[in-house]
Amino acid sequence: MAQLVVKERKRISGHIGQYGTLLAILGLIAVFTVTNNQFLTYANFSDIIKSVSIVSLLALGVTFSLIVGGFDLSVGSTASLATIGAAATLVLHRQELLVALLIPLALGILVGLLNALVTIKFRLPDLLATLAIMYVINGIQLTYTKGFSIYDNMPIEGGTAPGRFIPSFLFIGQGTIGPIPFVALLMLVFFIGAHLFLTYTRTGREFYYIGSNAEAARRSGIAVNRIKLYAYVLSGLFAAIGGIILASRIGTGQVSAGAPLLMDAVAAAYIGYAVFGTGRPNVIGTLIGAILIGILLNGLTMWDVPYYAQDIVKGTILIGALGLSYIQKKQRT
Amino acid sequence: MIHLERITKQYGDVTVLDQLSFSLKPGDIHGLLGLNGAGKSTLIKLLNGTVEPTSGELSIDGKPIWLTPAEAIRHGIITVSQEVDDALYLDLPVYENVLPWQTVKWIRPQRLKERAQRVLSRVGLEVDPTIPAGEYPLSVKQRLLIARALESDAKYLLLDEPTAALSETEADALLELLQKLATEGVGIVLVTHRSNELTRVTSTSTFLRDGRVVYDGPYQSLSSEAVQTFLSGTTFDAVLEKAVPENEIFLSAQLPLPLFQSDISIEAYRGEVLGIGGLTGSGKTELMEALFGLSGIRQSITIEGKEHVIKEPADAVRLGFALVPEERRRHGLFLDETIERNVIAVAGKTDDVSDVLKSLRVRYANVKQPVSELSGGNQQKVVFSKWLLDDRDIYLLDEPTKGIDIAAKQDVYERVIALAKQGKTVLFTSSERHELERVANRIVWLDRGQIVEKGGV
Repeated sequence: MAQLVVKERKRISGHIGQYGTLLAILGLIAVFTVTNNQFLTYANFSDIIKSVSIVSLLALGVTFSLIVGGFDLSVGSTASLATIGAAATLVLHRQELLVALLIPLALGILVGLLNALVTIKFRLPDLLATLAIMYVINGIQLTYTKGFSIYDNMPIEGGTAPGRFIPSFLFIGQGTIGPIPFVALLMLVFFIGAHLFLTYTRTGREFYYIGSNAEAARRSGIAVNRIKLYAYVLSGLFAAIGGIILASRIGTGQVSAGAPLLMDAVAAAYIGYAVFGTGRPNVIGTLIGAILIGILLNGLTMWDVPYYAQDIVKGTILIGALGLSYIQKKQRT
Repeated sequence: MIHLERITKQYGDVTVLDQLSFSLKPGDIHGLLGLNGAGKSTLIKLLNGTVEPTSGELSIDGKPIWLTPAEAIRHGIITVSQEVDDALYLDLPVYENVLPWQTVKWIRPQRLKERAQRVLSRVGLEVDPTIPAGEYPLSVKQRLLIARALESDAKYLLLDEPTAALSETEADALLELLQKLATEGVGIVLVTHRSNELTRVTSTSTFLRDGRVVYDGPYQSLSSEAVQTFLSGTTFDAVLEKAVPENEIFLSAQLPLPLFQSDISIEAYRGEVLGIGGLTGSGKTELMEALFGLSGIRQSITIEGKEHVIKEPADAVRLGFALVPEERRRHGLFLDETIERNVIAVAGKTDDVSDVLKSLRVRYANVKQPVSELSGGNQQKVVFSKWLLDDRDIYLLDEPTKGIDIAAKQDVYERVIALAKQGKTVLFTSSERHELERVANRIVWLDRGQIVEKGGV
C-alpha cells in the first residue's frame, strides 16, 4: 500500500525528469542564442547534428548493453579502431567504399564478441571487463598506426600512400540531402529502428526482461546468454558506425579519436534514464540525452571554453544524470 | 504497552486502515491475521514507524508519541521482516551481524565474538560466529535477526510470517523461542497463516479485513468456520472435485540429484495432479529444477515414450514444461516491469492477459501497473499466469501456495485442477500434507532426496 505514495512521488519526479530534460535543452538554446549571434544559424545547427550523430550512436550501443544489465565501456576505443580501420583501408590499401565500410563494421562486431566472451563466458563483471577491453583495443589501434594519424598523401616507405579518402566515403559524414545532413537521417533511421525493435518485437523485449531479472528470464525459457551476446555485438557495431562517421567527417584517421566520446555517450545514456521518468535505459531518452550534451558542448565551445575545461562540465553532468537515475531507481523499489 | 487509538491510514483516496484500535502488551504473543491486502503490513509499518498515520493516536505506556523508524528502535520496537537477506550483512561474519553497530564502540574481534556467543546461546543457536551469515539457512538467519534485536534491548518484536518458509521442526523451535522471550516480558506480534501456530502460542489475536478489526480476542476459542468467516467474509468448500487422469504414462524420468547424490524416478499421467510432499530441504525444489534443466547436469526425460535431453531451461520450455519457482521474487518476477509485461514474458502475445488474470482472480487496478505494487499472493498468481497464457503440457508448481492467504490458495487449487481437467500434467509441491490431499491424485513424499512414501489419495 505504501507504494501508492511512492507512485505519486515517482510520477512527480518523473515529470521533472521528463520536462526537465526538454526544458534544459530549450533553456540552453535560449541562453546560447542570446549570448552568441552565431549560435542559432543553419551552419552551426548542422555542426551540432553531425557531432550529436556520432555521440548518439555510441550512446545507443551503451544503451543496449545497459538494457541487458551490462555496461560497455569499450565503445570509445571501438570507435577509434573503426576510424583507423576505415582510414587504413582507404588510404593505405586503396580500397573502395564497400570494403572501407565492411572492415570497420567487422572490427566492431569482433570487439562485441570479445566483450561477450569475457563477460558471458568468463563471467567477469561487465564494467571491469569492458574497461580492460577498452585498453586492449586502444592499444591495438595505437600499435597498428604506431601512434600516427592516417591521412591523404601521407608519407610511407617508398613514397606517399596510394589511396585517399574517396568522395563517396566523405559523403557519409559531410554530405547533405536537401538541407539535411546525411548523418542526421542515418542517426534517425538507427534510432527509430532500435526503438521499434526494443518496443515491439519479442526479442527486443527479452533484452529488458534480462535486465530486470536475469534468473527469472532464464526460467522463462529466454536464451539469456545469446541475447547478452547480441547486446554487446550491437554495441560494438554501433560504436563502429560512429567511428566510420567520425573518419568521414574529419577526413583523416586520427588515433584515439573516439576516446573522448565515451564519457559523452555514457552521460547521454544515463540522461536518457530520466527523460521519460521510467528510470530505465531507453533509446529515445538516449537520443535526447545526446542532443542535450551536443548543444551544451557546442555552446561552451562558442563561449571559448577550452576543450579540457569542458571535461569538468561533462563529468558534472554525468554525476547529475547518474544521481537522477539512481533516485528514480530507489523510488521504484 | 503500545496502543493505537482509532488510527486511519489513507493513500490518496484509498483507505488502508480504517479507525483501527490495537494494543500490544509486554509478555503477549499477539497473533495478527488477515488476507493479503487486509492491512497487516501497514499495521506493522505503523508500529515500527516507517508509515505515518493519517489520523488517530499512537501511544507507548500511555504517552502519546509520533513514531519515526529511529524513535521506534529507541523504544525497543524491532521488526524481523520476511526478507531476512535484506536485513543481514551476508558476507560479514555472524558476530558482526548480531551485534547492533550502535552499541559497538571499538572493534575488538575477540570481545565481540564472546559477546555474540552469549546472545546466540540466548536464541538457541550454536553456530560459529566467524562464518559469514550468508552461509547459513533461513532458519538460522531469522534467529540472527532476533539475536540482534535482543542485543538492542528489544521490548517489542514484530515478526511478519517468520515461519512461512521454515520446515515444521524449524518452525516449532522458533515458536518455542518466542514463547521463552514472551515469558521474559517481550511483547510479540506474530503474523502467520498457520492455525496450529496460533492455537499453540498466541495469547490473543486480531483479525483484519479491509483495514478494519473484525475480531480481537483469543484464537483458541474460534471454530475453523469462524476463522474463515472473519478472514474473508465467506467460507470455502472443503472438497474439490478432482480430475480423472488418463491411463497411459505421459512423463517419466530417472533424475540424478547431485546435491543429495541420489536418484529419483517419477512418472506422471496426462490429466493428473501429482503431489510431491516433503519438508524444506527434502529435495522437492531440486526435483522440480532437475526436470526444468536447472540441476546443472543433463537430464534425460521420457515424454510419450520418446526420450529427450534437458540441459537448460530453454530445452524444458521447448518440450512443454512450465515452472513456477518457489522463490517468486528472485526467480519468477520481473519486478520493475508491468503486470502485463510479466504475464507475456513467455507467450509474447497480449490478447488474453486480462482473461488469464481473471481466471486466477488476481486483484489489480490496471495491467500496466508495476507488478511490484501487487501483494505477495497476487504476485504469485502473476508468475503462474505467465505460463497459463501459453499452452504448456507439464506444469511444475514449486510451493505455489507458500506465503499466500487461504482465498488465494483456493484460487490456485481450483486453477490447478482445471488444468488437469484440460489434460495437462501438474506436479505440485508442498510441505503440508493436507494441501496435497486436497488437490493431488497421487502423492509421493520426499526426504533427503529420496522417495520415502508413495500413494494415492
